[in-house]
Amino acid sequence: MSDLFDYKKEMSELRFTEIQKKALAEAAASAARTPAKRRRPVFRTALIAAAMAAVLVVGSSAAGILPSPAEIFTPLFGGAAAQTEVIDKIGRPIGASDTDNGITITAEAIMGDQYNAVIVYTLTRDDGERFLPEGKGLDETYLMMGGYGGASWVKGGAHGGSWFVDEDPEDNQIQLVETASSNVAMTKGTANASFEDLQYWNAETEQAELLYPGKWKLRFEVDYEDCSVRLGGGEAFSQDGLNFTIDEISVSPIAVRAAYTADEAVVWSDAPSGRQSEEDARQSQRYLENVEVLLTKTDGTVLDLSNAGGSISPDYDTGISLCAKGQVLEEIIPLAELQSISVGGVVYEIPHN
Amino acid sequence: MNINHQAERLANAYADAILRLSYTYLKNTYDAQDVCQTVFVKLLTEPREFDSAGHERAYVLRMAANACKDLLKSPWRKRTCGLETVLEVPAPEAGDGSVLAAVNELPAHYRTAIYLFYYEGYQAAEIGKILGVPTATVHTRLARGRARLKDILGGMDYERSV
Repeated sequence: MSDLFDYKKEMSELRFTEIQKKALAEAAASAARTPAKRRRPVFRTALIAAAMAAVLVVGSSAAGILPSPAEIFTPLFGGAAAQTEVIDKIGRPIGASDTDNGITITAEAIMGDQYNAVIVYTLTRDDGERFLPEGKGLDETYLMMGGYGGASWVKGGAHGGSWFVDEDPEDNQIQLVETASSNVAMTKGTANASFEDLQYWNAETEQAELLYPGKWKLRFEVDYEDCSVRLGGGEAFSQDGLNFTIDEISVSPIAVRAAYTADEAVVWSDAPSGRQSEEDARQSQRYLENVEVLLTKTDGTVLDLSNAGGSISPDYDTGISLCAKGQVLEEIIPLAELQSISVGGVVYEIPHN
Repeated sequence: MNINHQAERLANAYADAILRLSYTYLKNTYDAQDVCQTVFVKLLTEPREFDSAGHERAYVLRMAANACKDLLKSPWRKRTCGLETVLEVPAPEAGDGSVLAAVNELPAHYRTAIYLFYYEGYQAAEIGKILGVPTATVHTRLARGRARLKDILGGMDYERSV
């Protein structure tokens, strides 16, 4: 069948080059040697923290008092004494809720720095029944929140992500953790969060299916303390045919951000769809991804944050591009435990006073 | 075999197959690097014994299929921009009227069954093991996929192409 032959021929042409395969192998070998990162909250940690906070939780619920940010964040981002101290300093309770179709979504607490923030939401089945279908945990049930799926309170370039956590699969709650980063200050504002139709992935049909229909809208004030330190200004580095000048590095116990200027205004293609064209991907690499960001802890551990999301803002009048990249860390790292940050090979010691 | 040599062996043996399966699932080529990385790191950190090369290949494809499904259903995929360093591989030209373009119009689970059947040459039972679905489901997907291809391509009977 000639058409089938065409299909095979077209697919056969899809292949990596030898150089790309070598790079893939090197990356895989390197990653295999690196201890696995803590990507999801550890259930055991959650249990310990829950046990420690049990009296407080019962007491506060009975009294109608909001749970403390430490109760919310320690199971998710670390509960060591130094980490809890950070949460006590920068975490803020929220307590805004909305209910639809028997499901209540509550924005519990927020913490962040100048350009990054984390919000934890609790989703509750008001009838008290277990939240996920019987016999299912988050390992088997992949949830997808519709609508915007989080909160927005600043006008500017933003990126982020979210994931679900189920500390107790048998109870009537799960949590949604949202991280947000922006190129404008995020410490104050009025946030509007909207969610719609919680869906799950049906592995059999490979389609998203509705779990809980509904629309939830929350509005709350954001006002937290920025505890980041600012470093740099004016240092230069060159790579990929571009000359970069570092404008500012920001490091906090929960996130990092690097802002720098490239000496060319990026030119985007006129790709019609929302999908990034190959040329745009190449440009994005030159201005963002290829700029290495390494965070070194005092114990020698190096966190590679080069893949952090970010923004590129070209100024065609002056022929430059303002770039910023940053992300929320996977766990709280007190500044005293951070040694240095390297951006584009320029190293900054992190002050501890 | 040390970890570098093992990684090279895996990349040389399976990177292209994973790339094609990723393209079949995701209809792009730029996520393939992530899928390769997921599969290779897992195999390097949790080595397994295989009965044969064919057994290993099927296992690798199953891991790749699972990684693709994870990408498809990831909430992160819905909300974050793909800013990872990309090993760029141009997507194949799926011109109007081509079989590839027609296959790309099918739902992901039909595309995958058709790819594994027609390109990789697996039988339905083997495809079922790779995708983690019953053999009967594979037969159904192949039959429905062929029927849709027939509609899209204007009457070509793909039942006979098996």
